[in-house]
Amino acid sequence: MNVVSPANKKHIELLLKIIAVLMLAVLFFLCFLLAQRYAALQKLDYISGRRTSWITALHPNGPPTASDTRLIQSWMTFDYVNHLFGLPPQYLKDSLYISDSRYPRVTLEEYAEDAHIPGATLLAEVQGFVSSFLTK
Amino acid sequence: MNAFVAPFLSFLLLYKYWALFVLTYVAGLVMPLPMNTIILATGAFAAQGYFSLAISLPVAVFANMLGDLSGYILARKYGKRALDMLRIKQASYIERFERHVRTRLGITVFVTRFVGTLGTLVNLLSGFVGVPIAKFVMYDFFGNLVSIGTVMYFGYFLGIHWQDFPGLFTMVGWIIVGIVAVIGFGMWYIRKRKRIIVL
Repeated sequence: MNVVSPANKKHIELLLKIIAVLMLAVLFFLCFLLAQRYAALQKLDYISGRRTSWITALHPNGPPTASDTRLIQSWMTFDYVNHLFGLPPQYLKDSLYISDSRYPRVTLEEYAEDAHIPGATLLAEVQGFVSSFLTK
Repeated sequence: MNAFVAPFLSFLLLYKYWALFVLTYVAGLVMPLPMNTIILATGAFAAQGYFSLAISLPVAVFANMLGDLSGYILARKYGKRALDMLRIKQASYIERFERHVRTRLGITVFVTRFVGTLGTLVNLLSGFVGVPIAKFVMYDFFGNLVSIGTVMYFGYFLGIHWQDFPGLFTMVGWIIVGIVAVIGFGMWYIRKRKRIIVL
């Protein structure tokens, strides 16, 4: 059996204490980040507004509104955007004069690249058309 | 949404359950993919009626288990041979891990399902040290069901607002692992201290 000298014992104990403190510090830091993120989301009045509906959450959310068009992203497909906002399948195709045969199973980003349109421009146009459809 | 995650989400929207299967399988096998975001998004897509929750959850759990099991089998079958071929001496930490998983297999497999990268590492090490496959599959199933089910359910609950939350679940996963690590370290420290005092 190995014999540990008193000096070594102290050294090992000190090392273990330092590791324990570091681990706790990292854990506290992660908890702090989590709390900070949670507080930021509460400020958006999203979590607090939903607090009563945790139990009944297994019911689909309500239909998106015109203000939700900000959620449209370039990685989304036209098919998904149509579905999400309840648009008629041909609405965006006709509005944007899309002739791509892959429509609606093509992402906004891919379509913009192939049609040589700046991605941000297409995104803004799609958001605009969806918004005007919802506010009709 | 950051540029790294976006292509995976596009792939998911284009190929639906096939994409979900492929992504969760690959994530279980070896690749550190942004699983929480993918699962959260799937839940949200289900809430919007674009996916079905009743299909998505079994597909994701099954594919992830299959990926985990593939890693386990590969490491079990070829792990030692690969080390021999590369003339790498088996590290002492693998022997320690072997002792650890033999006594705490359940908690190790279950907890690491919540943090993708650690899960993959544990799958490989479990296969390498040859833990019983039936036990591994059982704990892997429960771990995947709880971790994937929880994230998917939150995605379903959050609906169109899911994009505000992805980072949160990765953080929660690390906190769970951190708590377990601190408890484990504490227990080990107390034992070590007792041994030092005895000596």
